[in-house]
Amino acid sequence: MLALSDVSFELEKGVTGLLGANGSGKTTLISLLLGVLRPHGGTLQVLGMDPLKAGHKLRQRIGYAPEDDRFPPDVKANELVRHFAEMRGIPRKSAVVRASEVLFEVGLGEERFRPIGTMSTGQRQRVKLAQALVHDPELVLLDEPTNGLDPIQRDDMLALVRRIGTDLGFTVMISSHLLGEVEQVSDNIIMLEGGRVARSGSVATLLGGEAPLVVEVVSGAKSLAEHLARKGFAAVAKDDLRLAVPPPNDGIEDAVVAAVVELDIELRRMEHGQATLGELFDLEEASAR
Amino acid sequence: MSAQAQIADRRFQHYLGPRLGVAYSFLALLLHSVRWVVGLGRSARYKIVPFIVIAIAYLPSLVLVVIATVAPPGTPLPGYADYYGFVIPSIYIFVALTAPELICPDRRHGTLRMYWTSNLGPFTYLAAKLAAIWVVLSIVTVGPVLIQLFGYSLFGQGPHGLTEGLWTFVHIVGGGLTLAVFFGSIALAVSSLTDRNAFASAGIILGFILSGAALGILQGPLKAPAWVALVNVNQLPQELVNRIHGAHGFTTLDLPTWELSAAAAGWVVAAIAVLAYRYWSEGRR
Repeated sequence: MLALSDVSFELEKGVTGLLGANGSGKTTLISLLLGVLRPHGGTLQVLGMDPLKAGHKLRQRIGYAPEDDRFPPDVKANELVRHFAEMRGIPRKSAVVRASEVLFEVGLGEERFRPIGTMSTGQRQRVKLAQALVHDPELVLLDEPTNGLDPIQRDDMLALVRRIGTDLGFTVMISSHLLGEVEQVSDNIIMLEGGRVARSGSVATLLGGEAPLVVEVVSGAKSLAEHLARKGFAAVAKDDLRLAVPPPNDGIEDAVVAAVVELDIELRRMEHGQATLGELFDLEEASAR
Repeated sequence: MSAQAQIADRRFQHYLGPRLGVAYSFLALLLHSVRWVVGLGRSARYKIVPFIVIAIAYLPSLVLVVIATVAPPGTPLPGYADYYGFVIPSIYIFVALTAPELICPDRRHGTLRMYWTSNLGPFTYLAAKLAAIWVVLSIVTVGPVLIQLFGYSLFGQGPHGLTEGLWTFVHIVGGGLTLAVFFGSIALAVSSLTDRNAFASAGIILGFILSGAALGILQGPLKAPAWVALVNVNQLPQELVNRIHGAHGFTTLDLPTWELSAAAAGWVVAAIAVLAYRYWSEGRR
């Protein structure tokens, strides 16, 4: 089975979102970047080095937080982070200091002496993040860091990832299967589909250009989209509350007003330029059809 | 404001210090592993059992030293190789507790992948764990006999002269390390077959007991040749230690010393091969 094929991209400074459905090859790609998987062909350069040949010289310049919990529950957070700093070549004295500093930085200053098994899912995710940062890597790979988090914890974690990629100056790649997450936190996006790069570029570029018209209704967005499609507009409704119409859409406002009157739909809002990346991608697919 | 007042920059600082290589991480993991299995830096419940077993292993040496203090010079006392006859069950229990604890939690919790993304790879990780089990087992295979030597020497029952004393010391360390390497390597190989400490511990104890029982059947009713005794992982290393100390212990292992040494080395190499295969395949996942 081919997990990844013909993948080519360059990582920019800041936060890059690696987006793809489950099984699209995100974890495989991260494993290749880390040099723990051997590609069947092609070349891979990470920080100017071949991951398979560079060995520990490259790995100690990369921070990695895995998708699932991979830590013994009876180890204290500061000990675990210190241990993995040592495993990446930081001398013991510095490792002790840095473990405390980085745990403070991810918001676990008061909790750093607690065994990991007694921590909440959100706190354990932060410990994973801390051990990925403790050796001050040039590239941080975060594999689904919001897995298992409730919405509030998820937003906190994304804000933290954003801060790490901006205020603290790390180059971060965050993988996720949720477009909204990636859009919220990333400067750039790499979208994987079936093991290939389907789209890549900066979020600003992907969102830029001529804005689509976004229409929000109380209900009936799908029937409104069908009605507009019959009139020649490529409208796409993802749910029954909201639809988007890509440019060129001259005369669309009048058509929408006429349609909501005809279909007796209650209009909430209509404006250009509020589409999400998801809607933009849906619109692209609709246009391609 | 005081003249000594300072403004400290408390923001996150990037690391500008040295980044050490594989050898440092290897030693750090070795030290961490040794401390981990004897419960140092962990809560009291992880210290109790290792310290009880270590105490049991040391107790006979202290008793022998006490006997040496009261025995008239020249009284025949148990030799250094004889010591293992008293403590071999403690060594089995100690190895069955420590070897699984060294590698099973990392496999069970999936921490191995974290090591693969550090300075260490599967084989350097494995080498650190092997060195750790050898060091840990030396606590009970070398330490008590050195106390016995020290006690005997102090009370006039030890070797005569510096040269003989040094040779005895070398034999004790060599014999103890032989046991540590032999038992430690096999126990670690057995532990690598499962993620569960309890299964691994049971497997180690059963393996040591069953190899003795199997030998009894092979050499008894089945009348197998003498070399079959080399499969006995229970008596083989003990007999090798006897030979190191210039004695013959087990009549069932009445084979030349080179054959015993080759068989013991074969067992250790086989155990390391099992470990290497297990971690090589783990590294390819």
